[in-house]
Amino acid sequence: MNKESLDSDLWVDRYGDLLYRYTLVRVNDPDAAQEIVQVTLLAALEANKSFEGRSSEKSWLFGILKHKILDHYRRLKKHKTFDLLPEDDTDPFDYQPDGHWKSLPIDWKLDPEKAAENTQLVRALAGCMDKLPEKFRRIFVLKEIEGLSSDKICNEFNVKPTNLWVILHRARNQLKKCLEIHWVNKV
Amino acid sequence: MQLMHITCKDTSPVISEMLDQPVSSAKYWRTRIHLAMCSVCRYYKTQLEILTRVTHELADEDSPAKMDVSLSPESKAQLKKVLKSQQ
Repeated sequence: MNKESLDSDLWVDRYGDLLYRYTLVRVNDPDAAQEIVQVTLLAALEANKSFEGRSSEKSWLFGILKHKILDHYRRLKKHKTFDLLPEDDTDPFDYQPDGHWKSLPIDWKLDPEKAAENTQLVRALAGCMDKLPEKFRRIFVLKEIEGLSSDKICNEFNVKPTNLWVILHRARNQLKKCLEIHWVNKV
Repeated sequence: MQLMHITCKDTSPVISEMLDQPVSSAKYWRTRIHLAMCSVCRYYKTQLEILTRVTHELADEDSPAKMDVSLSPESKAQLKKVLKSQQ
């Protein structure tokens, strides 16, 4: 490892904000996010010798950060339950008694293939994720952002498979509704 | 719409589930048939596909999602101090 990469001040200046933003997308708590960044850089300092330059310094730090974020989630699971409670039973897309949509989905006039290029939409979605109930947010992040398999989420975070599908469906519906307010109507 | 006794209410959770895992063949075909006949549920399916793609973009290390957020100068100074003390 070269001398420059041992300079922890440089790490903070060069990667601090990047690591912090990455964490904030996953952990909706600025204090916790800051702490995770600190723990990551401390671990990087500790593991300095194991960095063999096979990946870039940036990917190496992000690799450590990913582990620290999952550790944070694991710690949280001890205090939180992912069981569905009666108050979770709110679907913003309530249906009519005959099973019709009450509020009809509309055409967003956007090709899914090109959706990710839409920076406004990406940022609106990040804002909408922050508005999700914490239980829904965590499961959604583990599945869709961290890319954990359904089996792994169910086993490691004690979620019943049926609850997992319900939570993901409701999280998506709430995000969709939020995007229609904060993005579709403003385009 | 109530097509072949499968309603939009029945179809919507399956559209979401299909994003996560393969569903039984009966469920799959009931949903496909409903989708073929119900443009509103097709819009819903496209919306969820958009949502999934944009979410994956959020996961990127250089995602523009939180570009307006930074560590405060005080936080950076504190971070540098803590790291220096461990060196």
